[in-house]
Amino acid sequence: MKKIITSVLILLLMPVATAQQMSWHGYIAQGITQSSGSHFITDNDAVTSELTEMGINGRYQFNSSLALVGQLVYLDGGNRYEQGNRLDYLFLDWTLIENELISTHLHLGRYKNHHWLYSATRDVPHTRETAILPQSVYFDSFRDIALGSDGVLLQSEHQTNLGQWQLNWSLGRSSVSKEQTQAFLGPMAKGDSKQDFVHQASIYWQPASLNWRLGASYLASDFVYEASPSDNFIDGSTDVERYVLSLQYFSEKWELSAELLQERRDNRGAISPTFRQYLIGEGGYVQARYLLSPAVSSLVRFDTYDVNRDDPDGIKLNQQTDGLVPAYFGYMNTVAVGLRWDIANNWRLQGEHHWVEGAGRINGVIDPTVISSTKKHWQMWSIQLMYWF
Amino acid sequence: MAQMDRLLTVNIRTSIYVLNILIIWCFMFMPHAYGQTLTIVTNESVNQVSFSQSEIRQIFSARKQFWDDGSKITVFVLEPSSMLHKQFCKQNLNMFPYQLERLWHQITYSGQGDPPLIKKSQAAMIEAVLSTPGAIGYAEDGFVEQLSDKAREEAQ
Repeated sequence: MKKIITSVLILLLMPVATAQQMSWHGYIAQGITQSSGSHFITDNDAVTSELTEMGINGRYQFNSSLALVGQLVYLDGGNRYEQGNRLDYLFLDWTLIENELISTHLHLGRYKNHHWLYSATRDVPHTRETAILPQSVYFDSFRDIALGSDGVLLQSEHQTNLGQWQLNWSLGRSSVSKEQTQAFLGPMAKGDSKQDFVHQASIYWQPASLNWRLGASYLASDFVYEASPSDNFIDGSTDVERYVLSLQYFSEKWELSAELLQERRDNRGAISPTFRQYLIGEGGYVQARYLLSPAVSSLVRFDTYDVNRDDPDGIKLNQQTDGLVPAYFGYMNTVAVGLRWDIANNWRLQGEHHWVEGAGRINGVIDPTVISSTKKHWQMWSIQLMYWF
Repeated sequence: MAQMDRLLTVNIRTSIYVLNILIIWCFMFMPHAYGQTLTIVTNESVNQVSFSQSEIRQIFSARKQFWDDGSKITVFVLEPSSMLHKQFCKQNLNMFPYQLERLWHQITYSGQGDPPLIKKSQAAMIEAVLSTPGAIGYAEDGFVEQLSDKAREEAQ
């Protein structure tokens, strides 16, 4: 680590011919949204303007191999996540190799998660297909932890006779807020959660034609819960492993995206000293976008997730909780349609509607209010106007 | 027309033949289904005189952001809806314009680089390339030839 810091300092101080350069970019988006039959976005089926996303980023190029980059965002997504400002990323972008065939970068600091199709820019409205991403993979309660971490990311792209390869590796840690802790354990949790580490690796391949993109990624992470003296819970821990397969196909008029997920969770403690729960959740989504014209496109998506692959209907979950938790909290299936209109350069209007069955990706399974406020079949929609520069 | 005059004025003022020095075209692209042959144009500060297709792809998809001498590459493209941009993306990058646009968005908003600068016409594109050190863009071969001929005539 010392060597890395020394090398970075040498590069910073090294006199180079390249002029230092600063650049700025940003975006602003405002929408209206509603969830009915669930408090996933809004309470009591209310239509709300709590769909605001703003961001500004800067890049300061010290020389051809080193830059400092950062992005600040303000997010309001209703009940989906904590409203407020965030430091989205702030890292040193160190170019290790850049030539005709290879491009290798090291990111030191708060780096972005580049391991899934939409993970690097999921808070940037014009880079994603819908305001509410498929919850099987892009679970909103997990979002702040999955966006990026404080640590190191290595990204390397190679052009070969077999096509284009991208390799990503990262090791870091994210802070877990009180709200996120309560999203997992319910509002009665008074202690603190900490992430020990998150270790991720992914590989993507594109043939020379570039019309396919195939990827596979792995995540391993450990969390601990430290109960407070007056807590309803006791100390506990969760080990998470995630495997994701990603696919994209591009054609002139339409594109296909799909990701398959397996998530293994090993929960210990928290409820009782002897509590041990090992769950394998599975799911994924497939979506197709059709370009009706260069400015207008439509989208259809199916997203599914089973909290426990051995209990896809949630029947065991219902039995184990003496009927307290409805069976439909064991899964979540969503059909979504969307329409996008590029009104002018850098302006877009995007709308979507989701029909949901189940509540497997609603946060706070233990919270009785969530159970009582979530129907088996529920819906959500949003319309968002966005501008970027 | 006004833009063309301005461009030619620039050429006359600098007294440099477009054909020989100001525009270095290095890589001719076959027209295929499209009607035009495209040419890469670079600013005179760029020392490189030939590009492989893979290098063009690296540059226009932001994987290569600096020239070998360490100077910054500034990429100019035409509007995504223009036929010429579609032709360039399809034939030379093996991408559709929306793919390239998405790639640039991801790069820009995840801290990996700056997006290309968009120009509304070939004349504006060439003018921008000529006046921006380290710049690269593209234009129809015939359009560049016309400019070269006019500049030659003006110089004589």
